[in-house]
Amino acid sequence: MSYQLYRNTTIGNTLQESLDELIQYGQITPALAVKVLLQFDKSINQALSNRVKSRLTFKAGKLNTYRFCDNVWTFMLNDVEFREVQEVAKVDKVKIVACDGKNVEDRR
Amino acid sequence: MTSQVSVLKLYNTVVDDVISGVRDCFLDDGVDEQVLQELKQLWKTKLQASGAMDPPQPEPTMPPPPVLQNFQKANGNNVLPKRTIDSHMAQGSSQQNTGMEHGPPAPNLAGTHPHHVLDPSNKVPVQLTLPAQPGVPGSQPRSFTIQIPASALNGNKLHQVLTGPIINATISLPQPLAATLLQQHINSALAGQQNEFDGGGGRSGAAPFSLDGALDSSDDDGSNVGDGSDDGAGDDDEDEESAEERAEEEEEERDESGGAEEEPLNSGDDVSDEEPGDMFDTDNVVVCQYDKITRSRNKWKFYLKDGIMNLAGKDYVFQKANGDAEW
Repeated sequence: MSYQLYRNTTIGNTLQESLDELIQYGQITPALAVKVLLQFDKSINQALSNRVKSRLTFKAGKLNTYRFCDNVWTFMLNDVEFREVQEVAKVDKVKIVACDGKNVEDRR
Repeated sequence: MTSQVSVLKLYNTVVDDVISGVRDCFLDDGVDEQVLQELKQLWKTKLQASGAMDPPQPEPTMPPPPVLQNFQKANGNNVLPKRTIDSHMAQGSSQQNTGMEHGPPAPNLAGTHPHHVLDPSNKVPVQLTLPAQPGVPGSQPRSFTIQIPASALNGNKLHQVLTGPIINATISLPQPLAATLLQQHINSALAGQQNEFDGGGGRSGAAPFSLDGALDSSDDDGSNVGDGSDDGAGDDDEDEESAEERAEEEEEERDESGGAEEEPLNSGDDVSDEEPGDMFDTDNVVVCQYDKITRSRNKWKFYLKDGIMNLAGKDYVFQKANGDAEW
């Protein structure tokens, strides 16, 4: 239904930390935490595809590493410049993890 | 880039959506609504604390070095590292300098500077010399002074802390940077390993080459911790060695080198590909989906969508991101 890869972001990680705390204090069960995470997957996938409108371009000095495994691309890019209209952000290196965007309906 | 305000708005939407989406699950499990609210509060607090949605700073602010705190904790009192050499330190400093570079057994020091040993929290200035960079023309050995707690003079703590990798990391830096980096490294290492060192287990992290560098002709004292040439990394544990052996080795050293010869390379000299600065880099990560990835020869094009990026600690989101790179 929805990709789980967004769990590994700021908003996903902070949710997982919060759930861990509640589990440790015995306030929720791990099984309930799993349900929350599944709901998170649904919500974040929907929010990104429906609510986000920004488009940007980027240019990398170098594609350092690429990997394609289980339909997931992973790239390590060096000297990357992200550009949205006239705003620019530059980083020395960035890691991109990308799931197949055409496949969303088939996902469990 | 996408303003942090819209990221914040998006995240708030997701939080609310998740919380209301699992309300029934909580009810089914017989978990109080109060806990659900607590989850929401925890999550939002952590999100705020991450700083990922803060408006970008006009210039990146360096976090204050954590070293002072470490120091205070490790020493159990509030003595701050002194930045200047105070008088009684200065008068004994030449002895101390050579002492530290060669890591003499503790009794030596105790004899000459009982004061420092009695108060292990005292900071002692120690002069270090980084050797000239091999293969860099015009490179000079550089000296600077760092502060270490007197307690670290006992045993060879400094040598255990100043291992090959950290020396290699600093060797190419400008002097002030190198001094700062070394100081921080020493501070945190000593703070973290205080107990471990006191336990006295033999450690193999010994400095693989002499800290005082090729041009230092001093051969003033007993220990030969720096002579990594023949007995390699383990040679910090030489306390058991007889004085004779030690003297012999020292003689060998003098004979073969005259002080000017480079020691053979060993694994301690490995230089990693990473720049020293990279050790402290934030990870920049983009999590997204791909519409299409194309490649012709070494030219790659990326067509990405629905992404969350964390660049230099800040979050950005995009609907589409197209980019290119050469491999």
